[in-house]
Amino acid sequence: MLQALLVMVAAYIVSFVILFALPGDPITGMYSGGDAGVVDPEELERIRADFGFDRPLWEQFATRFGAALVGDFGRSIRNGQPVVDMLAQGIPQTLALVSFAVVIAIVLGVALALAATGSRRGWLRQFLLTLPSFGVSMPTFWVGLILVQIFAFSLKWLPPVGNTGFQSLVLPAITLALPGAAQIAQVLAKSLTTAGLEPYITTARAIGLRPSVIHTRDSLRNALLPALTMAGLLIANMFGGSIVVESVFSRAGLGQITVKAVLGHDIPTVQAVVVLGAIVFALVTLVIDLLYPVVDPRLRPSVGARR
Amino acid sequence: MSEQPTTMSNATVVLTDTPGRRLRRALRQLVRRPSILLAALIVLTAILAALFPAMFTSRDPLGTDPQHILQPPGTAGFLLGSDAVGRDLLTRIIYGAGPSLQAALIALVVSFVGGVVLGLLAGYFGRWVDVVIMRVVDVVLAFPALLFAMAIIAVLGIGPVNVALAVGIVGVAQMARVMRAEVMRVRTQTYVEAAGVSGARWYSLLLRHVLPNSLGPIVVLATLEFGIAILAVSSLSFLGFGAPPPAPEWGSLVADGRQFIVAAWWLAIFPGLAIALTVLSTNRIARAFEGELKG
Repeated sequence: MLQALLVMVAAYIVSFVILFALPGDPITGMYSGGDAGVVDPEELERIRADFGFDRPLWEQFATRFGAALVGDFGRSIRNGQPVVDMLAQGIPQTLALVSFAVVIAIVLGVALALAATGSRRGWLRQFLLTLPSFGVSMPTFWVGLILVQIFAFSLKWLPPVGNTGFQSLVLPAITLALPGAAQIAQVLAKSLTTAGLEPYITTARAIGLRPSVIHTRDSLRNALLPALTMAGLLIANMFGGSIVVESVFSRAGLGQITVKAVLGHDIPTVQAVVVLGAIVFALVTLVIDLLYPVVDPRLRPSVGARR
Repeated sequence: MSEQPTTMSNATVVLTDTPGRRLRRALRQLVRRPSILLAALIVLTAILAALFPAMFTSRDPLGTDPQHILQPPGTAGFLLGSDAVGRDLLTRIIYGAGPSLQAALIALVVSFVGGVVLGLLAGYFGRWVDVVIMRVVDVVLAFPALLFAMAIIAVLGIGPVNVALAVGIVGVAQMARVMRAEVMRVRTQTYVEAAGVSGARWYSLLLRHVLPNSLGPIVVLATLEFGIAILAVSSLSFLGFGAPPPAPEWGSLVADGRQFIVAAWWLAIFPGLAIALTVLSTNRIARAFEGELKG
């Protein structure tokens, strides 16, 4: 818990240092490049004062951080809207996309790893084990465009773009899930192979359990930990990847808000999204820490022996 | 590998392995595994195209041809088709290798130098230097990489160089972490202690003994990071943060082609294929390299 809170606070501080404390305040950044001469200095000064960028840095930090603690990330310097309200419009769509993609990635990754390590035929095993390296090498936006080309335009099974219900979620979610599935499969296949060499597997085999039972019950359970450790980073990165995927499929969501904010130097909005990313990471890590003892009974605190 | 006993420590490998023997072993590896050979050929082609694009085509990547717009692949004179103003796609992909690989290389150099310096400082001096550097590294790793790169671009402004710098800065954290772990291991080795006892100054210890012997893992990581950097740079260019439209960067080419995905699928698919093949090949080589180093 404390760990997660510390990460969030530290993330806020680092993002503040990078986005606000560097020379050249956000307002100058916004008007630099091309139209700098159009706005007169007095007007700039007025806008600066309006957003509080004329204050000393520590004061800006104190005000902004205090507000952030109660969920206020200031106003967008593009349109004056509260940043939190803007994000709130995009969060549901992005959350739906990322959660669906996480489920697909886990199912696909685990299935592939099990199929690859469980298959007896050498060539099939080799083939399945090389699949993930393709998955991690392909640019997501490209995979998305290929899927659109095949399933939306050629086969006409699913809509190519938009936010119209579950059907429009399928292709983006698969696109976002593929690199994650590939990474899960890589790590899991590796640890499944190591787990297969453990003495308890030999014992299980000697008892006469069927190979498929041993594979899914004994090997998988022991091989899950490394994959679980990786999943935290993976989910956080999927949150980042959703920006690209939403752009490919022209979906409303955090992605479009973020891209617009970056292009428009809208620093407060960018900070809110970045901190949100770190919060997602911290929360996922927390959940995974709590999951360890569930997956592996050896990690449960033993009764009577409190540490 | 089989020729080399697994118990041999890194230090002895350095003493017994001459560059010639290492090269011969690497070449033998190549012949034994055709996939590595293929990967090396693809990377070599990409590098040559980046350095000397005119070697592969005599056409102009920006030269329009209003008579031949949106030609499908295989049309005479347009092997991979042409775009909405009649530019040859193959030529544009060849000329796109330069900006794409260059950006990835800049990113890699930034991550590598930053990671080596920070990792060396943190691992060697320990105490508060280590605490400060590693806390910041941990926090940076908590941000989704792509998102963090976009935040840096928001500050630096858009453009191909800034995209490369952003990707590079994000990569520093991972590199620093690996470097620090290795420096901490090497620092306690007998030969470093021996040099310390025999009166070597701290900077000579650091630069002559610790640095060269801790580079192995981070070099392997760097080869892996190259593919990741290509993907990150092309993703950011696809989102429109990189070179402005007429430039033939691979990610931007896919973004341009996306508008014509219904009428001309090839415009988005082939540049993406160039990215995928290059990344796949560099990853394959990195894996082989990793296996070789681990023995």
